[in-house]
Amino acid sequence: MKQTSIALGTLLALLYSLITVADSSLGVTEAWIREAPPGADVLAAYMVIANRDVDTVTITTISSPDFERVEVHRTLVEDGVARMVPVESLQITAAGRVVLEPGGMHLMLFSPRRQLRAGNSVALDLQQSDSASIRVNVPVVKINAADGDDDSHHHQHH
Amino acid sequence: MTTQRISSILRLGLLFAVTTVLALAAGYWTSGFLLNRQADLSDLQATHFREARALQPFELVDHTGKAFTNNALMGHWSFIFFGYTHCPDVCPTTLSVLNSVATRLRDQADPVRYIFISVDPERDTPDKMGQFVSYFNADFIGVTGTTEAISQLTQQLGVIAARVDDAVDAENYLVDHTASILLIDPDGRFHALFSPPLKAEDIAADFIRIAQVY
Repeated sequence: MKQTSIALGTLLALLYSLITVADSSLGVTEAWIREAPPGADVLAAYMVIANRDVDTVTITTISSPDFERVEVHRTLVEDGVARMVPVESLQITAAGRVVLEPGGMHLMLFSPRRQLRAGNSVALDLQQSDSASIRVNVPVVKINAADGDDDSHHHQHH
Repeated sequence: MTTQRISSILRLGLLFAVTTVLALAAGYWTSGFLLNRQADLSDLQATHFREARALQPFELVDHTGKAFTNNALMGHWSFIFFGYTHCPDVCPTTLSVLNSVATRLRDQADPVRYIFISVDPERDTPDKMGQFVSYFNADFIGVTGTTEAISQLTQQLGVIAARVDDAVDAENYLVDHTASILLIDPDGRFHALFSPPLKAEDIAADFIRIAQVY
């Protein structure tokens, strides 16, 4: 009982922290930033962005007060070679969603303005082409497979 | 008397011939069995080379500043991954997979080492490589070197590394690179290749089978 209420509280806190702008038709879930080794200049962020609108939503720019620059990239493995292909804009079709995940599409966060450790939270601003924008607060998470496989999904909520 | 002698010689000869044929057959059967054991490796996820390839001499530097040469690959198995520390998606994911492989192979009798070699020596100093690898596992080895020395090694291993310059931000360029993990045998030869998608479970299972028939 006590555990349930703690879980519920965490869930509510996550929901509140993840979606802070109500007028956007976008919903962001399963957002996390991979904690990087000390001194790393580039970090990666992952999330699922869902569109609740009947129109396609285009995200043109993403920025963060904690980073110099944010880009969307897609990892492509062709003939065993991994390439990073910049994605100019993210289009989320009506009632559709895009998944940003390890080995696929991801946000590249360049030049952190502060040292980020697991447990920290980073604000990301997703700017839409219709001038609406959404701010998401994304937790920094340490992922190392042997510590517990796939704990990347522990921020999932329904 | 003489005919009896001749017939006994013939009989001996026949016995010798039969024994030889039996021995040959036994040898053939045994070698066939051994070859089958080798051929069994064809169902691995990994690409297991028919003949391991010896490496030309190379000289790099490990994250403690010590020389890293062919000798550093002798006497133990080595998993090698080529990447760079400014790589936020593929490289941390792969090192994390290797950490999981290391956990799974912890109790193996065969000694195994895990080596991360930079394809971006301009930015990856030994210190930076040390910080990066030890974040994933304190026993992992980071290796860097001169651009020439690294390309000399990547070329003979068929590893591709290509810098992609960024027009907006010259300092934060990316490097396309081979996403596979290489396996070097205890004689320092390129023995097998694990290609993406990389799963720790499969890599560890394949390695155990490869090491068994080595």
